[in-house]
Amino acid sequence: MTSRKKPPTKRSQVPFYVGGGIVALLLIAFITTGLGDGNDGNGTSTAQEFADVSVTGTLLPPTPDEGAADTAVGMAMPEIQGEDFEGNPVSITNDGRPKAIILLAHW
Amino acid sequence: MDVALADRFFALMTLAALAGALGIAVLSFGGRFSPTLARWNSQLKDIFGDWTYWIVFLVALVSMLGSLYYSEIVGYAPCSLCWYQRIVMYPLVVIMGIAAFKRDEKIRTYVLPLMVIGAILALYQYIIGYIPDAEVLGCSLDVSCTERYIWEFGFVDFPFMSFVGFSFMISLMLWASPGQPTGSEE
Repeated sequence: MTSRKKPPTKRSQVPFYVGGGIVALLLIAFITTGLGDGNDGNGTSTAQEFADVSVTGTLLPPTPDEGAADTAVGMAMPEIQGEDFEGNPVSITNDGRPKAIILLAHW
Repeated sequence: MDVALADRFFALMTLAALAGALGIAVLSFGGRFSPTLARWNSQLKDIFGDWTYWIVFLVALVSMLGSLYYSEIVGYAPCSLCWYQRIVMYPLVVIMGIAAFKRDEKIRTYVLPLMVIGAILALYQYIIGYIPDAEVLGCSLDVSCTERYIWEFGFVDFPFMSFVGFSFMISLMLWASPGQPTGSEE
């Protein structure tokens, strides 16, 4: 007498569908992020979020209270050297021209 | 795990969940008017119906592990709205795990309100990401509710992932449950 194996139903294969789908998404993510080639998947090099900044010169005095004279007027500003997102050097130096330096956050 | 890889992987999971939620909506509503859609809906329920609670459990588990990965390993500080969504999501892992194991259909009454609250909070946070002036609940200045830590495909960020996760779970819970008759013949 031979025993016949019951063929798997679609219902019993659901965990394999789900698991296979997750593995497929992981593979797609791996391929599209272009790991290992320094690429972020969008055709551009991976940008750095942080970099060291060096400041040289004398710090300007704090902003005075309203109405008081600003003793920083006429003083030379400190100079700043750092890097942009791509690692290129960026500097804000005392080149004789007036500058407004704006620090922004989006919230 | 590389952060860029994790970002892309969770974003793709989100798109898959979005497709699932939209597919269920189309089949459920369209099935009322189209016999073909009704038949497909019935066939899919027949295949996936017994597994819906396990799939909801998996969605909650992946959401929890993903949020813990980003906060505890990558180091992104959760904002206050993120915490409220965590408060709703994390218990669902345990509740849905037990419900799936016991095939307890009564659990719908208890988890659906939690899922709806989570979806509303996530949708609100997604909207204020685009319209910061619409923020009325007030978030801490230390950790912004509108900062986009990730931004995949031009529209997927954490609130979007959260909203899709909750929406997919809601659609699954309303769509089918273990042991529910589907009306199809096999």
